[in-house]
Amino acid sequence: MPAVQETIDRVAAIDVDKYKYGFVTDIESEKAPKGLNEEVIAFISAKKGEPQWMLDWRLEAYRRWLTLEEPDWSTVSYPKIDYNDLYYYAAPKVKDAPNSLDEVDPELLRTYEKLGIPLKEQEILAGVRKQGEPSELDEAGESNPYGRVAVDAVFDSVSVVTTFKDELAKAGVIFCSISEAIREHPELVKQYLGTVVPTSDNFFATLNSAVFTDGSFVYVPPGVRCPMELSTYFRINEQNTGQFERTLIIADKGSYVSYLEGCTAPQRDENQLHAAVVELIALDDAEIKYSTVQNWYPGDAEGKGGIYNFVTKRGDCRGKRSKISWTQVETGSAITWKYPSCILRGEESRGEFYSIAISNGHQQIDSGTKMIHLGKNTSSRIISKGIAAGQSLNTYRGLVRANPRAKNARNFTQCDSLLIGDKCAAVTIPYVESRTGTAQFEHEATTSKISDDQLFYCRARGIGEEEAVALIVNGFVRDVIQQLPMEFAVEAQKLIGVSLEGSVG
Amino acid sequence: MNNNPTEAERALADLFEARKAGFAGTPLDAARESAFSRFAANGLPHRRVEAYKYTDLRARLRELPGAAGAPDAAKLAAVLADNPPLVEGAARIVIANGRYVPEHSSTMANVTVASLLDPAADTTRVGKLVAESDDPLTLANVGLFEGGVVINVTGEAGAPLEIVHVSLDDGLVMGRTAVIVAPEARVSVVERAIGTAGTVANDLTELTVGARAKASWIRIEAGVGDKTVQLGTLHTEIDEEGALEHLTVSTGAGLSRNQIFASIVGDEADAHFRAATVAIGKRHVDNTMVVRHDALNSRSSEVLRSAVGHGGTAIVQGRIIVDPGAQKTDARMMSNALFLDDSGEVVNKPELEIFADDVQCGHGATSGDIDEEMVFYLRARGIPQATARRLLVEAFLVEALDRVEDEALREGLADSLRAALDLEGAL
Repeated sequence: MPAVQETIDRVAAIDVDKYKYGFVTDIESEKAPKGLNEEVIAFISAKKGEPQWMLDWRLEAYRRWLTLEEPDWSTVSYPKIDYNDLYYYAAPKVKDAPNSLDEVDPELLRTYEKLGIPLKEQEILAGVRKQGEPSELDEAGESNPYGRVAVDAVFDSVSVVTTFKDELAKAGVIFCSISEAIREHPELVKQYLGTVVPTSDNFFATLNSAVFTDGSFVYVPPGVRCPMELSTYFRINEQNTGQFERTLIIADKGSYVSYLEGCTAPQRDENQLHAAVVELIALDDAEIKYSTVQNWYPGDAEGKGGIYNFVTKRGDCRGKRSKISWTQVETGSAITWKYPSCILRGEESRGEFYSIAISNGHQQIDSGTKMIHLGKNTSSRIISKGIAAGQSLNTYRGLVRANPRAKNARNFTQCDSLLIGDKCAAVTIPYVESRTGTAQFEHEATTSKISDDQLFYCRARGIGEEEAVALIVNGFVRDVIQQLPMEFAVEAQKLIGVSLEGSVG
Repeated sequence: MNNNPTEAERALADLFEARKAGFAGTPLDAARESAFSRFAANGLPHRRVEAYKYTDLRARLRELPGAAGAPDAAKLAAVLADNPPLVEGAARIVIANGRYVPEHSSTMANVTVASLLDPAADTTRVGKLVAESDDPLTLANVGLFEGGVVINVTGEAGAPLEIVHVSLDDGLVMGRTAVIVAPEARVSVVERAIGTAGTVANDLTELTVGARAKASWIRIEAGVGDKTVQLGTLHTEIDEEGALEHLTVSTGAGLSRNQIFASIVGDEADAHFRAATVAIGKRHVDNTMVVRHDALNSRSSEVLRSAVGHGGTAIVQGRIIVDPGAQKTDARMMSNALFLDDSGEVVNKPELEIFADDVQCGHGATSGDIDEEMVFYLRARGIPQATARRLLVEAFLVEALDRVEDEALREGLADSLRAALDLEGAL
């Protein structure tokens, strides 16, 4: 990346940085050589101990990727990425972990605290404790005060910690890293991997198919209601490694699962590429709820550095009466470019998309959803709240389509944008395509600013300006926050305040 | 570069070569070469061009008819006699086969009309609104137009203006019209296209609305069959406290694309756009609007009503852009589409691009079939099912006409919508 060295140098000279979660954990790592070719893919596959069919799958994707061109239709702009200047594999070697939370960087703990992450989860995230080890925080007879959340923490590219596994196993739920799933449950992976996002899907998804290193795998057997919320904290740690997560969630007939994905990233001094693929499959009467809080490093005050988040997320409501619900809170990343989508194939299936996208500083967001109605009596709902502050660009782009066979399809879409300051921009680009007269589609969008009256009301009651803005914004996004699981809702509300710091005055 | 031109694109290139010499020395000749070469570089727009995603002109216009020649005087007189003015007392400006016909055009107080090919015509203000455009239909017209008029409105126009585009010979027609409404002036224009079944028309209109001026413009695009192609592009600019009321009525052409590129450049200006569309059978109607606010306290609105049946297609693309600094903008758009039966296609693509914070902008889009509860309500009052449905559809469409002040004209337009609903027994 020619632009990279320049960025590193510039950032080195700049000391100002508002990112609160900026830290690089210095852990030895084992890397594949820089660049991308068939040997690197074979190296990744070998490192993961994958069977031949998986390697073949990757290579086929890679060969296809070579024929694809990087798309340029979004509203975001960034320097050209040199895909041969990235590391595609980095596995951390764990060494000298801190012994207790006292030894962990207090700044990091404050961050966790601000975000309301449970203490016991903090221990795991900070590397104090591994899965299964007793915590010093445990008291006799005390039940878990923060509800039940299973964490599959992805530390850079390899899942190093998985909790609650045994309990899930009792219910028959498989929750493991995708690498493990390829080894332990090849029949499931073979059956479902790439069926929602095929290797030929798009430039970034194809790249991901070739080089993905880790991610989560969930299988919920028929009729099982997953006994706890499943959660992954993605962390990008190693310098210069693209993150290529692959997540596959299958909810078998009549099952239910709620999956949480939360992200904080260490402070980076150069742009990082993150091109994940998430595939969800819901069979008859199954329901998947997928929630994301994304707070990766957005770049510094000048807009330098920051993560490129180019993600392909798609759910397939394959069965009758199935339901997939996406909820996202996007506050981080220099560039976010993603459209969590639902293919409503099964009759009477339902897709939902709830989104809060906050951009500040020089962030660019181009996000939205696609609801593809294929089956009869399918319905979907889209609620998107975009907040642009600073000099950011916040784009909602969405597609709702009913094919001729999607009789009686229903959609309701609402996308509202809020502008804070006169240097930012909000863009709304919905595509509403109906190919059957029986489909009822409704779409509405508004753009406005925080009203002076509301602000004045808060200020007159002694509430500081930034606090007032956070309060009003939290009201603006309430419809979406309500869709988040409890643990995330609290975290997300705080994150909104943190994200908008420095946006007024 | 377009390395693989279609037959139609080659025909256009040949037409340009053939016409080049003839236009040398005419006003606006200087812009032709660069405009046409910019058009030819990409050729006819196709579905991979975002603005034409739903109206693929390269695929739909594989072949083009030959360019229409000078109109036959007798035929023209007959057509005009068959189509009297829609508004009583209107002054007519006739453009036949793309060429201004002064002998059939009338004059009136405070309005001057001149041919765009007349070296004596004042064309200093013509071409400004399209100079920066990269729209392929605009570029093709600027390169190829075979004639047209520049109309200067200097005060309150003595009568409503009716601009009649007549196509007589199943040919390719590219007429161009420029209307400059001076500050404080007032004008009301009805623009009609009267064509033969095989006409392919690509008209270009520039409308400048001066400070505190008022213009109303009604475009009636009623082709005669599903082979007619009506492509019409309006570029307009509205200055301080100026106001534009615009209405497009599309009922007939097989392929119709009505484009509006509006810029509000003066503070406190108003621009309001309405469209009523009936797309039955093989008809494909595309209303594409880009409204840009680049001034303080300006207002714009778009209301579009479309009825679709028997496989017809209605496309609405509406983009509202609020430039940096265009504070206190109030911009709204609403597009509603009604399916008359289960077939057909409706696409709504309403876009907002907002670069100023103190604004109120919104859009809404709906599509669906006739509300059976409303039909039930009417049936319960003794109205037969077919009549009830017709009433509801008509009421739905006619709402788009509610800003037409001339009652007779409004009724006439409503009648044409009703007639269109009867096409192929759609209702």
